[in-house]
Amino acid sequence: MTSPTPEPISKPDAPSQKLSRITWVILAGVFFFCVARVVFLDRQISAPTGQVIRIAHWQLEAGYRNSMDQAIARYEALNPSVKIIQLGITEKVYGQWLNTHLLAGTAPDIFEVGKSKVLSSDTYLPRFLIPLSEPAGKPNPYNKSTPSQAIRWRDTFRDGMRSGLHPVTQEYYSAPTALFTARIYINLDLLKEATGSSAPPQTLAQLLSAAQKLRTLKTPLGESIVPIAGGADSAQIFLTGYLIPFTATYEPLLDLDLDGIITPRETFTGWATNKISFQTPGIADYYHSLRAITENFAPGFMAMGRDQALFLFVQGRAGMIAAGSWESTGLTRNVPFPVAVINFPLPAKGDPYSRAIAGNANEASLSGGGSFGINRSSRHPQRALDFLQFLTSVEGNQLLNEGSNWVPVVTDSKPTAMALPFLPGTAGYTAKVDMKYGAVPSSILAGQLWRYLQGEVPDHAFFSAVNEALADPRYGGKNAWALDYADQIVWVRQQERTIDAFTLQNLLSDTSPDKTQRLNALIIEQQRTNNAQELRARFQDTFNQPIGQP
Amino acid sequence: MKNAPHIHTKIITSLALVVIGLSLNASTPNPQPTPDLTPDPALEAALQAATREIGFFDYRTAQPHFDKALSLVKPQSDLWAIATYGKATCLYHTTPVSPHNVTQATALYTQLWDARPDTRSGRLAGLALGRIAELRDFLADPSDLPLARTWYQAVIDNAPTSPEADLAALRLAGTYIQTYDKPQCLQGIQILQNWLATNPPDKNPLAAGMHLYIADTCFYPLGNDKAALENYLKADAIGLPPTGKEATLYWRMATLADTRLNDPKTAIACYEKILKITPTSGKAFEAQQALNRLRSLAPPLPQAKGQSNSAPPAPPSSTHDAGRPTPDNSPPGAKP
Repeated sequence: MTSPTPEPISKPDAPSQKLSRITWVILAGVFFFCVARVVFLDRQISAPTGQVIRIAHWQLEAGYRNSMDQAIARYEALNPSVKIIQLGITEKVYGQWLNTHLLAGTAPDIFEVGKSKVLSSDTYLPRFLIPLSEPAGKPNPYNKSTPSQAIRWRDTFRDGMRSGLHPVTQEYYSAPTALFTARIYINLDLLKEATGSSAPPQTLAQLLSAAQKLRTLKTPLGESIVPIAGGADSAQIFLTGYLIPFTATYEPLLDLDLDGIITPRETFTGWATNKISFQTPGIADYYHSLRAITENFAPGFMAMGRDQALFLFVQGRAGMIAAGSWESTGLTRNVPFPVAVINFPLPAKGDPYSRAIAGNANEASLSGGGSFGINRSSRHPQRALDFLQFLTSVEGNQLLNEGSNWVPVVTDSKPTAMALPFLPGTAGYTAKVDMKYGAVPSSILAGQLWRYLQGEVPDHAFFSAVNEALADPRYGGKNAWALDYADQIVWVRQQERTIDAFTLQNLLSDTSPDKTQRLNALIIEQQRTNNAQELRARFQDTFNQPIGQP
Repeated sequence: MKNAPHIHTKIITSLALVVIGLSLNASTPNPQPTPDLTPDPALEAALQAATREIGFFDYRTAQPHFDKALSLVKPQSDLWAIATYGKATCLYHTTPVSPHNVTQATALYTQLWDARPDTRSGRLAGLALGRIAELRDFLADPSDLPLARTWYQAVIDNAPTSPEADLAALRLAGTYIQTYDKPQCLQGIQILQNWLATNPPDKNPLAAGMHLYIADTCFYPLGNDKAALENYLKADAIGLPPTGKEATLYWRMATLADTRLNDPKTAIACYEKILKITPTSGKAFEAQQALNRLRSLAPPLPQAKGQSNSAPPAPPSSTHDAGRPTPDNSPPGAKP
């Protein structure tokens, strides 16, 4: 009996073969899904009936995209044949993303203007954005039946739409959608625990006193509470918030051309002619008060990033933080404790640092943000404009800012209750004394200031370093003045390019009276600089020497 | 009878010959330009393309279109003048600005000025030659103010009632004022004042700007605050140029009147303009403070029948309604 023919041994499939089959299936599935999606989206965008508008931005803060969705839903209800697609792109890559798409001709119909190197060029910007000057001069059609119905679109903005005005071409290229201010946020639970009261501080002395008391608290895990959560961003907000209140008083002394502004050059002139110094009461008090504030930050705060400081506050490990209104939803709604929002409290009369307080900073001249422009390559520019006008109408701007609790930029749009503390304050001053003049002195001031605010150097060392830098014959204030002079000569020549472009357009084609008026305004503005010779003359008058000589 | 047609023919022929002879002998001091009668699509396309590129401030890309246009137009025609001006301007402004390009532009502008000073393009060419002389076009390029003055004066003399002459007068005055030498500043002011006397605002769109320029010069370096304020007010009465910096001008006017000239009436008027015309400039609060101060110092106004003195307006509140421009299409708030 012969043994049965052994059956051929069938080897089981090798693991690599099994894997490759699954891999191929997955790859094929993904490929066909992508193809289907591209075809579907392309059909959507190129639909013969209806229009698709894409709008891109980098505002990924809490609540904003929901608000935008609400505004979109309302617009689509009013315009059923239109579909709006929102694209939120992280600000870390927004600039590169936008640059690439602009150059490729595939940028969205509407995009938030900013962070893009391409759009910062005077030559490229008109190529990529449609000018809005003409519609800006007429009422916004979406403001019918509102108090703004007869008002020019640009006059319905709190900033008069000037944030969208391009200084070189004198055309409007974008429309803002919100206003941003900065305030101090306070954890009221911690404040009450530390001070016995949840009433926010009314004066700087009260704020510093509260900060001192907050030091005594500890978290459930035994960590010390940081009185004020601060990184470089936050410290800068305090620096900006207090500069005008402490130094506006010196406007009559330093404002030589009576334009209501103390320019850095006028500040330097005042310093160079001994009208002001770091011992001048308001200036000394400004820096000393900032030091008193930053004493309540975490040690080494300059190394702390914006997100770290925010986390410290939302986790209940810090009593206060200075931050922008764009953080309001994250810092007030998404936290397990009550939060108060206050403006920067000033020293009361007689308190420390109160010798030269003028008053609050005036925020009436703040420019709007969250500005959107219309892509010149858009397939539906009229529709894009229509949607932008809706977003900046009384109703649309209110809807857009509701979810994020930002301050609407349209004057008649109602802010939410949470946005009320961030409304720009109009009772205050504008002039400020900024000792930064010249690249090197400014750099030295910034560097030494952080060292001073972190307690690494005493005030006199900080002041001396800046004084030395300003007085330096090679790169100090006089050199900065000479550079300003050279820069203005270049500016005059650049203005000539713009003027001649307008003139040539005027010659080649009919231009509107408005454009002719703007051309004349450019000519006058250029002429009034006298080819930078005023800078030369004022230098000579101040220092009794020709400009540019060591 | 047989000779009559013959005689008539001779007479008519003779008359025709006389007419032809007269027309041939007629002297024309300025040859009339040959009009470009037939629209040329290629020419139109070239000029449209040039216009588009100029709108993008792209002189480099616009220049070949002007070259194309020049190849299609009749020399010394009106369109030739426009295309020549366009090409010269492109050469002048192509970056980086180079001595070579500026020299070529100068040659073209000069050719245009010599050939067609009767055209707008020709007059603009004269102005451009003045600008080339005056401005520092590149590093180490000197400014030649006397040469610039010659060109500006030539444009004025050539067509004193043209818009180009208004601009030439402004630039001519500027060549004196920018020296910051007081006698020359006064000379520059005199040029402008003479021009304004014979070219009032309804004919001179630069009138307001000229008053501003006089005012600036009186303010500094001449230190004549009274004359400065007078001219600022004149500029404002005509209509300030829309630069977005109106608030700074009103503040200057108000401060001059308030703190240097003891003219509270004018100061009040200027502070009120800040509130009304530039409410978002940031100076509204301080303007209101100044108004409160000035009104508290002013004697009460005489009452007309049925009227009462109105109380000073309250300072603007810090609500979101404060500062909205009035619905009369006033210019928007200006940048500080």
